[in-house]
Amino acid sequence: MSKSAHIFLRAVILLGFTLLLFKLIVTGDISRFIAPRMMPYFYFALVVMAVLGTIQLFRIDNEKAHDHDHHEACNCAHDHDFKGSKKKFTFVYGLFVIPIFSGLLFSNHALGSSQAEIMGFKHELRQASESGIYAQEVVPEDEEEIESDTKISDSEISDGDMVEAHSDDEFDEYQSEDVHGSGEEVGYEDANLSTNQTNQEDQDDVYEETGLQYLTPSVMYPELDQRLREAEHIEITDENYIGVISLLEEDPSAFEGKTVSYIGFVFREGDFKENQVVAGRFGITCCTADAGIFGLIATDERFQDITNDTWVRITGTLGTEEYRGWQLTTVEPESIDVVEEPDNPYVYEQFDYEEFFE
Amino acid sequence: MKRFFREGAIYALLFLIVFVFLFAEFINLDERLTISSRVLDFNTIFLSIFLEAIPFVLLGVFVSSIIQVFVSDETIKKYIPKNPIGALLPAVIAGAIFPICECAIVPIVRRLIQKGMKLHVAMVILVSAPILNPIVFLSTFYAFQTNMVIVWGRMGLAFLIAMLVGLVIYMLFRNRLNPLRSEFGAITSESSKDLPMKQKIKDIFYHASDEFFTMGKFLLIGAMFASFIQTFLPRELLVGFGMDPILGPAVMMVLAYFLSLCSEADAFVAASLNQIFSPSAILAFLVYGPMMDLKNTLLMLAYFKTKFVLTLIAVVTAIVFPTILLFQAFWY
Repeated sequence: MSKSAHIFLRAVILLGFTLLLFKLIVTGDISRFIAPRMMPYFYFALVVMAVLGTIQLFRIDNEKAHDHDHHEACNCAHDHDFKGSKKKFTFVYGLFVIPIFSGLLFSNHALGSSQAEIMGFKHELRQASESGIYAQEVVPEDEEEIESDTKISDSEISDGDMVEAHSDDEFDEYQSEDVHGSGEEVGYEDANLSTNQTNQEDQDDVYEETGLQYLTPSVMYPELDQRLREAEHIEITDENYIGVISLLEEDPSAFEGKTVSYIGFVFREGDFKENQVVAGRFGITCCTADAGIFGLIATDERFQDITNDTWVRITGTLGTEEYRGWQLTTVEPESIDVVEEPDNPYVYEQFDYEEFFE
Repeated sequence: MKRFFREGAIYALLFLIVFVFLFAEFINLDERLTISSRVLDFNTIFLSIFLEAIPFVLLGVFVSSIIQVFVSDETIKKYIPKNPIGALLPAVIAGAIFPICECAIVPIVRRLIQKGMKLHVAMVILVSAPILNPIVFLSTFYAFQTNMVIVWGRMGLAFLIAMLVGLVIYMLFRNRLNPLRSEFGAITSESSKDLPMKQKIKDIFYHASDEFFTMGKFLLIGAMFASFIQTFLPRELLVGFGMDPILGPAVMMVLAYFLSLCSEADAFVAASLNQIFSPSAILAFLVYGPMMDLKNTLLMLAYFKTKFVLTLIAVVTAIVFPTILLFQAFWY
């Protein structure tokens, strides 16, 4: 394959990418891949792709005239890219062609219950992804686990303590920290709900020293938190979805008895009862690869007729329930209406991290 | 004749792309074929990682092309002191100034060695430049804005490890070794300094697209691999060892080596694994990957003697792993 043929093929691929990016913007399907906050970078990519593709087209003539002599002055070892077997090139260029076609043809797909099933509606995992800071707290758990098994019995005691302490306002925030942090083991071993107050305190020290702050939902959305606590009825919208669900989960008992109204798709965990579902949506921070499920567990006889991936609007009363050792926020539906899938099935993180860290 | 067919095939590809671009809505392939939603999930996550990474890859490719065309190696060399230990710090700083990722740094370092740069100093630049640069910082920041410890930890550890690698390489080889394969021993590279401006600008764009293709294929393989894990691997299976203080980082280092992600994009892939692996395992991935991976091993083997490449891999691995474990022990 001559160098000019390579360059022609590359021009076609680059222009193919340009068309893909352009189409994603025009159809709005781009929102199914990356969060709105990343869009400026995406426009930059579109322009650069178009320019590179066009320039490659002009380069062909240049190369046709120069084929075979070493003209590139920079000696930067890119030329080796143009040497190799036919098989290798078919594979390499095939790689580039795949996203062009799969993007143009299947850009309309949105993650649903199949992905939810793989990820699992396990709060400890979700929380870890939602705010990386929670994830840090997980490691000491493991270390402790390795150090000695005897600690589990201690932890069971503190588990009980925590449940009691829960009604105490002072401990409230503390407990929710712990629930998120010590998650990994809890879901699977039904033990040590909050193993290590000491580790927790160490963590606090570290954060004090470094000036970093725990990013708990109530720290992230103080105004929303205030409003929700005062409200009788909570309307969950596209904009406040992630914030509201996170706040409800942070302190389930505070919102018990309030009414709520929201939409979401239905899916079931393996160990759910027949009339039990999670109705929720995928929330995205940067791109779909970091998607996490935001939703509430709902129990109602009417769900038996509603299949996975059906979109519903639920209006009901908030409650709490124990699930895999967790106190979770639930909704007791009064009305369940099947609705159309929204134009944009995802919700996005509205919290502005940059401002927060400045 | 052969050429005719080849060009015909490329035109056919172009036609097909334009056709699908215009008529995908009417073809409606996703409804005609009953494709498992899991495969579509895979495709969606694969595309999202790729689309998210493209702007950053392009940004890196451009800056690196500009430097390749406008900054001469002599300028870099001038600022590196003669004292072997004293040269380590400036070398890391040089690495930090150059926003060049692991693909582009290999030929540059090769040239620096040819022009008389000390081996250990060149190795410091080789391992630090792909991590300690503003674009990698930016993409890591965007991927991990919820966890600044990862962002600063990545930069800090890369700084420290790069110096240690330089020190160990110096102690192992002093200046005795010529690590380059004999065929590269005598070549003196030309610089584009004397070319007219128009040619320089053209070169930047040519470089940029060549580099996009050089790196793009590794990015695509990486995005595929990562989205495959995302869509087909139940999280429950990984929770056990992903959070393991020893196995977690070890597995992530192996993953980083074989995924061969571009350091400008790996943060996004790592972010997608954030749920499964502990922060120190994520850090192991983010620090080890750009320093040493399958792709730059291959690139290095093109210029360097096999024995030297293997030694370097061993040294980097033997330094990164304990450093991550130490970081983990002291931070948490």
